[in-house]
Amino acid sequence: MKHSSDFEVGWIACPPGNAIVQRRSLEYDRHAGLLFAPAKFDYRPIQLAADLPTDEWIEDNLVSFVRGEFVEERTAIASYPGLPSVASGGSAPRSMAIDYLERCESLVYGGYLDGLLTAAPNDLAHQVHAILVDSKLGNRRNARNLTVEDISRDLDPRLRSKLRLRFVLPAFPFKDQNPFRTSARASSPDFADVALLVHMHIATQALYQVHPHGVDWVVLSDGLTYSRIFGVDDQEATDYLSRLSEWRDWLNLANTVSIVDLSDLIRRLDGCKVAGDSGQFSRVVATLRTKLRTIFLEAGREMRNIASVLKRGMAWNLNTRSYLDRFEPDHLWLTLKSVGTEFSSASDLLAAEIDERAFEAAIEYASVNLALRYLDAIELSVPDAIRSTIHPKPGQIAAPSVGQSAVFPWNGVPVSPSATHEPNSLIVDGLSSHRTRYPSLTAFIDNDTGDPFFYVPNA
Amino acid sequence: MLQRWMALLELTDVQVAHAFNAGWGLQESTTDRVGEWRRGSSMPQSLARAQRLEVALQRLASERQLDLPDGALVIAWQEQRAARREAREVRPVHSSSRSALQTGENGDHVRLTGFVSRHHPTGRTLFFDISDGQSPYPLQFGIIRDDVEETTWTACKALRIGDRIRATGILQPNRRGVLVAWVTEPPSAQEPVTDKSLATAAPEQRRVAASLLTAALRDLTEDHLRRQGFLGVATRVLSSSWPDGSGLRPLTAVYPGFGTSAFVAPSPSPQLVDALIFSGTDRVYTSSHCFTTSFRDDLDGVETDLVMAKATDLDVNEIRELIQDIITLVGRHLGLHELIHETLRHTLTLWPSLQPDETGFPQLVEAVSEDALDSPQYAFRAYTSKPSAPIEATLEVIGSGVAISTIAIFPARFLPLAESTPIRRIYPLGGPIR
Repeated sequence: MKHSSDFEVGWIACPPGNAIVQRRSLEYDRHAGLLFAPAKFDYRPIQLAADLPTDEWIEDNLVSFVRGEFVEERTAIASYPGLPSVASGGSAPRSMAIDYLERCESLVYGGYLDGLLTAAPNDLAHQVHAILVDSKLGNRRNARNLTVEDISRDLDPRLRSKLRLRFVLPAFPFKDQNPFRTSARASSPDFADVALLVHMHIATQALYQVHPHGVDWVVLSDGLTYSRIFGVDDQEATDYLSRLSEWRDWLNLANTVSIVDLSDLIRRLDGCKVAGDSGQFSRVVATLRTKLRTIFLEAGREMRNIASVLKRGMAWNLNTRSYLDRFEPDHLWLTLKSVGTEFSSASDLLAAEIDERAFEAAIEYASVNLALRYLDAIELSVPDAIRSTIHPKPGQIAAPSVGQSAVFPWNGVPVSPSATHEPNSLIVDGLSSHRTRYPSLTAFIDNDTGDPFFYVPNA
Repeated sequence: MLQRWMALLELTDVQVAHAFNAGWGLQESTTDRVGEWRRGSSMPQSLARAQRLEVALQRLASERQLDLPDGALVIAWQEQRAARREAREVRPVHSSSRSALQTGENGDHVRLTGFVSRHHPTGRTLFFDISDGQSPYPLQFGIIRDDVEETTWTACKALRIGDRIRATGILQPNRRGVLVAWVTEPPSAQEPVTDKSLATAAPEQRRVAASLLTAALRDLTEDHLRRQGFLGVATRVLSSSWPDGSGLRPLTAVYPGFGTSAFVAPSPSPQLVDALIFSGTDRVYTSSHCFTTSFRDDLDGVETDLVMAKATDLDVNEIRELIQDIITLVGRHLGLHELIHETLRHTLTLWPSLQPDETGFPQLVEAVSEDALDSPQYAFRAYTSKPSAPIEATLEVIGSGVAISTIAIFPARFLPLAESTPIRRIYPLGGPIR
């Protein structure tokens, strides 16, 4: 993968067991006859906790982790709605992404941002808050989770050191391989993924109008970390990351959105050997794996419920494309929806297989996530960055919203009801959910991947 | 409330719309009102309409021998309007016609300053356009006499084409679905920015106020340089080459179909060296811009005003005097004599003897550590307390003896000191008041 941003170059050069830390320097450009103050990177050793998580810590954090990321559905299982009929609309012109970018940037430079800032109190924290909670430039859900005081706390030390505001966001794994959500291969980002890059970019542009030292995003792409858990080929996850970076470069967003691999961070943390030969991250994951298996198999009612919710979430995220060769779609639908519920049938071969895969995925997925949490892995590895999230929660900044998204961009497909692709007009949802709005769609194909790039509703 | 009444009276939307029409004394077949009702309003748009609808519904209730509380619909309307107003507090305000026309949505607020470019009264309705230079098309404002206070109506009616005004409204579609800003407050005459300072200018005036001050400071600096024998040079900002490396990053200008891109140069420095070589003079200056994405100072953007001077006949002390003179002039010009030690931070290391001069204006220069710089013999930055570095100077010795000094003045970096300076002090009254 080509590394286009300064952060990406600095990230690759970071030695094992070290954090990457930004610093302002002062230099003289002899040709320009001017002084300037570029941000440089230092590498500092990370001190990881040597002990392992206790049973109590694991149980507490498992509950909050599952409740934070997965919805506990208590409704009856809906029957299979079918998928929209899809006609081919030919190639998606690559230039449409540029058009979308220009339209989005007009929010920053066309007077919309000025109006927003005019209405906010005239101090930095209020203005940053106004941008982050705005539905077009930021994410409305930030209004619930972020206060101006939170922002102030994040801004003050960075202002004193003249540091860039850097948001770090674990996201963009690969295209979901649930056949009821998407039809593209895991390696094919589509317009929804690209639109999120664009929205992250315009958030930085808007924030840069009020924050003097620059703003950027670091995406920790977690595809290679989770590919095996969800049954996706590693190469597909690598290709997704490369293609996403190509889109980023083509749109000239390298100075505002850096894309690096979360598995690099994990490998680097394993460079911290605090006991024995294995890395500390691997030790913590191994401990969690063992404990979670016990919890899921032997725990009381509350933990069993938590395990069921997690398993249902996993089943819905697994690569289940190949089952459609052997089973009817409505059978697969009901099986996936039944995982972890009383409707699940142990005698059904498909149900038994998916249940087992979901169980193993739940243990692995929770182990990795809880290990990242236990070790403060992201905060320690990029200590001057502000944590952003796709699962909005108090104290963390939600990634910008893309139109009317019911799911994350990589978990669904984009339908563009507006021929001009107005900012925030995209509707991102799973294919089967789109079916209730649009029984018939036309797909426009990305020539590079041969997969649908976006859809428009048919009359 | 209205939904409850409708359920009680077993009314459909269309029947309510007809009742509404009846309240206006209109025929049932008057489709406009029905259409307006059916566009999704759960309540009438104005108080007058709510009152008329209440009368009509009361009449229906009485015909059906039902008892509806008096005034309930009007109270509900007022509560809903107040709730909407509260909800709108967090809605964006469009401050340019471009923003409103391109990204405006039903219910967004608009506060636009511009010229009245059309004025079209039609009985109890009035439309006027405002052009603000941000879009080729004006934004249409509308007002219905029955929906607003008399003062607002009178103020809108008194407008004349060419008036500079500030108008506020809420975007809502007209009958053809086109977004119109419906006036919410009486429009006000735009106060000239020359009567204000940066601190008192309205947010939308600030940019113009800052540009007036910046231009005045640039003129002042150029004037001083000319008096010191610096020869003015017109420099270009487009350049076919700029060295790769770790220095300032130039912007690039791409011409489709013209091969490689050009650079928008971060600095006129190479052209000034050329001018020194070829003009035979020892002192040159230019007024230009610095274009770069590299970070330099808190107050800089990608484009920053820059006055740069170069000389081959200045030593360190003479550079210091030049910087002192410029800072003194700026201080007098901005009326900052009283701000001596509050406004500038004294962090002098290279010239510890530097003190405020007889005018009382501080003369502070920070020396940049020579260790951090590979080529200049000396490098200085004059800092203010805001913090910002409005003047940089370096002295480089080339080869075995030619010394070239560079003084870079960034007029906009003085602006934080000028928050209270009346714009009229420098413009348009013919320069500084001495």
